[in-house]
Amino acid sequence: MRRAGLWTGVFLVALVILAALVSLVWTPYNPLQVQPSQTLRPAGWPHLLGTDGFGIDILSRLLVGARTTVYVGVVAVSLAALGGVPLGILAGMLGGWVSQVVLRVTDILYAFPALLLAILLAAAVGASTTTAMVAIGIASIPAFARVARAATLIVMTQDYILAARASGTSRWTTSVRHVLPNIAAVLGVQASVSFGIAILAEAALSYLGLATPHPHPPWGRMLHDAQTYIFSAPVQALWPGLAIALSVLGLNLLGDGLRDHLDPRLREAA
Amino acid sequence: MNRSGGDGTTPLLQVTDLRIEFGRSRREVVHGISFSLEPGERLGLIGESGSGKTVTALAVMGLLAENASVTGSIRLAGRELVGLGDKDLAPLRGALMSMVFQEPMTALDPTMPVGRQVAEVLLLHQHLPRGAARGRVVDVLGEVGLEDPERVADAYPHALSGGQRQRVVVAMALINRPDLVICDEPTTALDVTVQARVLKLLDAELDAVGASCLFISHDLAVVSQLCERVLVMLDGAIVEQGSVAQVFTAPTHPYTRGLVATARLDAVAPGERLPTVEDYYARQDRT
Repeated sequence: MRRAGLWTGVFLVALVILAALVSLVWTPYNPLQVQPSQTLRPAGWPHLLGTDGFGIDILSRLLVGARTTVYVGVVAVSLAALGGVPLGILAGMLGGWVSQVVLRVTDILYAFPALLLAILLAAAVGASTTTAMVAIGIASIPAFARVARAATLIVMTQDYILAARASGTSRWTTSVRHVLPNIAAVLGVQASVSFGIAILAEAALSYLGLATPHPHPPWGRMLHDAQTYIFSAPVQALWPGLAIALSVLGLNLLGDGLRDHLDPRLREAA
Repeated sequence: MNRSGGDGTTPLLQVTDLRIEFGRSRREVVHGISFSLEPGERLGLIGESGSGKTVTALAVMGLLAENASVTGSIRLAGRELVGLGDKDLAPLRGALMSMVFQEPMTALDPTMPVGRQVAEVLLLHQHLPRGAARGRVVDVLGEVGLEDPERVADAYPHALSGGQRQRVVVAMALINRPDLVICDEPTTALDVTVQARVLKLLDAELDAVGASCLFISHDLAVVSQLCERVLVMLDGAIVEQGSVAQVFTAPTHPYTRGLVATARLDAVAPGERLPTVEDYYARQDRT
């Protein structure tokens, strides 16, 4: 029944991506339109999930928020992969002092939580989505570097790497043509796990007001806004919380499912 | 410098006092071995696991791990290889010298159709348009006895049998018509019938290309089928060398005598205990 987890993950992730795509062409209400006459409506008709303190339709806000979530996640994970994977492969292929330097640098990066890094960056260059993405991306580099290195070490013991080198393939070409495709599966798993972490970090940052300023409120910002009405309209906070929790859950299930699906032995590798 | 057989020709491969050490402790695993290989000759290198035969082969290819240190001399067609960097060695690998690996299950990249892998070896050393490369790859796959080479070229390794894969590996090693082919136990992982067919193929293809061959094996029978001369390696040293006939019929070193005796099971009377190498050559420090 492990596949059940994988498919639940696929379903939840697909739902978030679908929400983001739908929000590009259609939302039930204008997610920016303040309606003072419609504030704090409970869930029902015509506002399916109710309205917030400004009278904005919560479902519409959620849909638009998914856009930010997906965008931040994709950019942050790409950034982390672009930084971490080459470092990891380099360390895995060359070994020796190169490996030691890469490992120590990732250790140092590990010491900075994404949130702390984001707060530092926000203080230096100002809070924005870009700041959040860059901070989350940088903070995720060590995970990618380590997973890539571990997987590369295993691939390097295979005869086809030796065979490629014995055919006169240079180190560089070998790494791109033979190492990367063979560790891609493990990297995919890491990407989905990192994506989940990125969503959580982004939500925390926007909750603290360190990520996306209005007018494209992400889910974390919705939580922040709902906090004001926690006693008068507690259900309001439920929706963005649920959205965050379910999308992170989905990505983790997807990552775990993929890992089991691809190769049970990869557990040790990663 | 050349210590060839006295007939005045330059040996293709001349290895002199080759020593290989590993790691910080500089543990020596190959203790100053010397041998030479004439153009077109096939030389068998026999020894048990850990005797240093694969390490010797990798030293010739320049593919030892970073923590290995190689001293002595390895000359390929008069050119010194010891001390050459990767940049200088890479153009030689696959073109002048190539290697057939032991385990056909792992010698091919699982993420790539085999045709592309063979084409990669070709394109690394020859500038050909893609279409021409494809044609040449299919030709070579046909030459190594693969049926329907067009289909095989597009297949991933997991879709091929062990024998088919080893034929692909042989095609990769021979496509650039190298002068020296190092075969590292190329048939050990195959079952006996496939083994015989792959040996026959190697025999024919080496002749067709005119390549010399350093054939590594632990199996005397296999070596005697393919090689003219044989080296016996034990614990990082060459203990015996000579023609196959000579080593087979009149082995001088007790270890070789043990090997020959264990290979001749037909000489054992029914009901008698089978001979072991230890009957002839007892070693103290066995782990």
